[in-house]
Amino acid sequence: MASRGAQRPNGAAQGKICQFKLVLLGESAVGKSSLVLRFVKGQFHEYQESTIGAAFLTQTVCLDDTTVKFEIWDTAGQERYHSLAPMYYRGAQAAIVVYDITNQDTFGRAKTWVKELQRQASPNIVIALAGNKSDLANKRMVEYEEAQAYAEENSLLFMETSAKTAMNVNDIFLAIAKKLPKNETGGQAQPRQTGVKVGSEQNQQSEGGCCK
Amino acid sequence: MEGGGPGTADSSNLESNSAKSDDQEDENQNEEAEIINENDKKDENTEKDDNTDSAIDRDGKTKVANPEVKLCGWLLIFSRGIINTNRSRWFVFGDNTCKLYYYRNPHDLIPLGEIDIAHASFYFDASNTEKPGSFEIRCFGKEYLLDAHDRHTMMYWLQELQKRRKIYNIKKSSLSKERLGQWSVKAVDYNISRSAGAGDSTSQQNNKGKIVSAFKNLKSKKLLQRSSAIESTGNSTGAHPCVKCKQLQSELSGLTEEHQATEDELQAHREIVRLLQKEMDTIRKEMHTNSKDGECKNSLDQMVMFKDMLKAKDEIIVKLTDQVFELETALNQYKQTNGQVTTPLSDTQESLSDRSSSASNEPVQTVIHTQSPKEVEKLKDMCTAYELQNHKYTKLEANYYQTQSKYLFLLKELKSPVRGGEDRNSQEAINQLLEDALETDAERTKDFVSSLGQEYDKYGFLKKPDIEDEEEADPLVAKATQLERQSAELSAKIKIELDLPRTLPNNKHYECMESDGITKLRNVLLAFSWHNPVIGYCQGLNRLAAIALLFLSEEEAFWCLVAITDHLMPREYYSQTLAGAQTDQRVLKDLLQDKIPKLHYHFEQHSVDISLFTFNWFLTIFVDNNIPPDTFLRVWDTFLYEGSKVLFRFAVAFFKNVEDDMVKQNSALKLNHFFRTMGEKMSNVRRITQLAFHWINPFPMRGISTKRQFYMQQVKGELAELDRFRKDMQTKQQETDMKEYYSDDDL
Repeated sequence: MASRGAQRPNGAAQGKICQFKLVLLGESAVGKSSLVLRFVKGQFHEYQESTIGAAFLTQTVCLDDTTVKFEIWDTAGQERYHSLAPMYYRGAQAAIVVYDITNQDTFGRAKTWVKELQRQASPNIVIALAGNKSDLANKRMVEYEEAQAYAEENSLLFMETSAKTAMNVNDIFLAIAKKLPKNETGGQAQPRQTGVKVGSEQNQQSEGGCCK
Repeated sequence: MEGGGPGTADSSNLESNSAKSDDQEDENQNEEAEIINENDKKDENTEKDDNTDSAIDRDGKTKVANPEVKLCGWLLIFSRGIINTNRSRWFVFGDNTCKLYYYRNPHDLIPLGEIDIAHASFYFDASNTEKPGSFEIRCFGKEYLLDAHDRHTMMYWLQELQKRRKIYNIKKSSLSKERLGQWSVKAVDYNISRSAGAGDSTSQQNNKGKIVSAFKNLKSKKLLQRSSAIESTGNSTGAHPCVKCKQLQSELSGLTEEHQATEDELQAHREIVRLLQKEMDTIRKEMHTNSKDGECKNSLDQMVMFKDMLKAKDEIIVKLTDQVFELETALNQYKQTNGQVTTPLSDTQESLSDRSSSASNEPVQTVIHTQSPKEVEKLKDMCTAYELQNHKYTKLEANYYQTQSKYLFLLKELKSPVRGGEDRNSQEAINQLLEDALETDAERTKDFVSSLGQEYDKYGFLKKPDIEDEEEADPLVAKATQLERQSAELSAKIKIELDLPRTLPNNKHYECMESDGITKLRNVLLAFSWHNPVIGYCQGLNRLAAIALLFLSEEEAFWCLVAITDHLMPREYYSQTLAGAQTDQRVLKDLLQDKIPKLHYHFEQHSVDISLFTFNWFLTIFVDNNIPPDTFLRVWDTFLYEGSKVLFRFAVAFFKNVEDDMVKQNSALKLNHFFRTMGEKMSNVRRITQLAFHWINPFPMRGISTKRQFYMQQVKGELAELDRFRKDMQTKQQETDMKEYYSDDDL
C-alpha cells in the first residue's frame, strides 16, 4: 500500500478546482470496479459484486496547485451492455480502458474500446490503458512491452496496475489528472479540503512532459 | 399487464389496483381514498400524538399556515340524540387555546360549545358521496359530526386544523422550555406558583384591557365584533390558568426528571456499546493476527517439507543417472538390436502414460541393490524399453509440432487470406488440413455405422439418408454451426462461472464459492442458458436467480426465471442489445414528467440522465444499490402478481418518496451522489407501496404500452446505427491490419 497517498491537511488545497468525468471501460471481470473501489475507498474485495449498468463514485485528487475532482462512471463489462456505453462515455474528459494481463482476449477488447473512444468520445479525451491484476504476473498472457508499444502508438497513458496490492492505482488516476487540461473547467466548485496528496516523485518523472 | 403470458387470466381479476381502463381507475380512486382513511383511523387509534405529524407529512403540499389570520366559518353540526338535528353554527378556532368554538352567529360573545382540537382526531368517509363535506372530530369519547358542504372546504378545514394544532404544539413546547430556563433550581415549586401567578395576573390584566377595547370597538364598528369575540373566549379559558399552570409545571418537572433518567440510561448504554466495540476490535485484531500467524507457520512448515522432499529427490536422481550410465555401458557390450517402430499411435500414447507411471516406480526398483545377473538382465530390458519409448516419443513430438505449424499457418491464412490462386502450395496444404479434420470427425462417428452400412444418430436412431437440408448438405457449414453453438454455450458457461461468486456477496448463501447457494445458482443459470440460447446468460439474471433460490427449489427457480424473461417482462429485455430494458427507461422519463414534473425539470435543468441509475432497477427488479430487501421483495411480490407495469409504479414512487430531498440537490454532482445512496432511503415499504398503488393513479397500462411501442422503434434505430458504426470500425481495422501485413512482407 505504499502508493496510498496521505490526507492533505486542512486548508492546504488552494487554487482552482477542476471537475472531470471519467469512465472505466473493459471486458467483464478485468477489475474495473475493484480499481475504482481501491482508488476511492482504499478497499479490495476478492469477490466484487458484478456491475450491472453502471456505478457512480467520486474522488478528489490534489495536484500542486489544483484540486481535481473525478466523477467516475464504472460500467458493466459484459458484451451486451456495450450498447449502453455511449451513454456513459458521452461528455467524458477521461477514460481508463482496463484489461486483465492474464487474459489475451481482454487486451483485444481493450483495443476495440480505445478505437471507439478515439472516434466517438470527446475529441480531447485523455485515455489511459490499465493492465490490471499485475499481482498475477506468473499467469501473465499479455507482455508488458506489447501493451506499452500499443499505448505509445496510440498516445495513451499506460500502467500495469493491481487493485489487490494497490500498485499503480492512485498513480494512474494521478497521471490522468496531470494530463487533463485545467483551464476549461477550473474554479467552478467550492474549495474542498480532503483529497489524496501527490506524493510520488516517480510520477512526476515519468509523466513530466505529458501535456502534448 | 401484458397479455399473452400464462397467468394473465389468473391475475387479471386481482389486478384491482392497477386498472386497465380509465373508468376503472376512477373506481379505484375511491377505493384508494377509503384505504387512506382506514390508515388514518389506525394511526389515530394507535398513535394519537403523532397524528398531526403524519397527517402533515402525508400532505406535503399544503401551504404554510398564516397564524395571523383567524380560522372561522359556517359549518353544520349534527347532534345525535333522540332526534337527529343539524344546525348551522359559526365556528372559530382559538389559536391560543387550540380549541374550536362555535357560536349561534358571528356576533355572539359567548360560545355555545367548544371542541378541544389539541387532543382530537379527525375522520372522514371519502366514499360518502351524499355528503361530501361531512367529517368528524373525535375527542375524549365525544364525536362531533360536522359538514362543510363540499369536499374542498372540508379538506381545507381539516388541513388548517392540523396545521394550527402543530403550530400550537410547537409554541407550547418552546414556551415551557423558556420558562423552565428562567426558574432557578432552588424552591422550584414555590417559584413556579408565584411567577406563574404573577404572569397570569398580568395576562389577565391584558385580557381585561383587550375586552374593554373590544367593547369600545363593538360600539363603533360591528365588523370587528368577531375578533373581540375570539379575544373574549381566550379570556374565558384564561379564567383558571393558575391551576392549569401548576398542573403543567408539575408535569414538566416530572418530565425533566424522566428525561434526566433516560439520558443517564443512554449514557450508560453508550458506555456499554463503546466497551463492546473496543472488545470486538481487539478480538478482530487478534483473529486477524492469529490467522496470519497460522498461515505463516503452515507455509513455513510446508516450505521445509518441500525442501526436504526436493533434496531426497535430487539424491534419487543422481543415483538413477549413475545407474543408467552403468547400464548403458553394459548395454553397449551386449549390443542388442532395437525393436521396430511400427506400433500404432494409440500404443505410443499408452506406453507414454506407462512410461510416466513406471518412472515413479523406478527409484524403488533401482534402489534395491542387487548384483544378481537376473536383475541386471531385467534392468537392461527396461533400458531398451525406455529407449524405444523415447524414440517414439520424439517422433510423436515432431508430429505434433508439424501439425501445430500447419494449423498456425492455417490461422494466419484465415486472418489475412491471399487473394487469387497465387500460392497454390498453401492452398493445397489448407485443403489437406480441412479434409484431415473432416476425416477424423468421420472416424469418430464410425461407431454409429452398422454392419449393414446404415447410419445411426447419437441416440441410436436410424438416420434417414434422404435429408436434403442445405446446411446439412455441406459438412463444413454444419460443423461450423455446431461449433458456433458450442462456443456460445461455452462462453455463457465461462461468464456464469465468473459471476457465481460475484452475485449478492453480502448474502451468506452466496458469499464465497463454498457457500450452499453457489451450486444451485450455477445449475439454474446453466440450465437457463441452454433453455434460452438467444438470451444465454445476461448479467442481472444472476441476481434474479439468486433471489428466487432463496424461496424456491432449483427447478422452481429455473421456471421462475423462464416466467420472468418469457412472460412477465416485455420482449428483448435481456437480449443481446437489452433493447427492451433501454426502452423502458425512456418510458419512465415520460411518466416521471407526467407524475412529478417538478423533479423532471429539475433533472433537465442539471442535465442528469436518470436512466443511468434506473436501468439497474428494471433489469434486476430492484435488487440493486442498497435497496432494502423488504422493499425489493415487495416489488417482487407485486411484479410476479401483476407484471412489468409495477416496475414503473415503484420507480416513480421511489422518486416521489425522496422528491423533497432531491429537489434540494442543486448540482449534477450532488444529484448523482444522491442517486447513489437513494436505495437506502427506500425503507418505508408501506409509504412506498401507498405511493406506487394509490398516489400515482390514474396509471393506465394503455399509455405505457403505446409509449413502449414508440420508444422501442427509436431505441432499435439507434442501436442499428451504433452497430453499423462498430462494424464499420471493425472492417477498417481489418483493412489497416492487412496493409500492415503487406508492408511487413514488402520489407
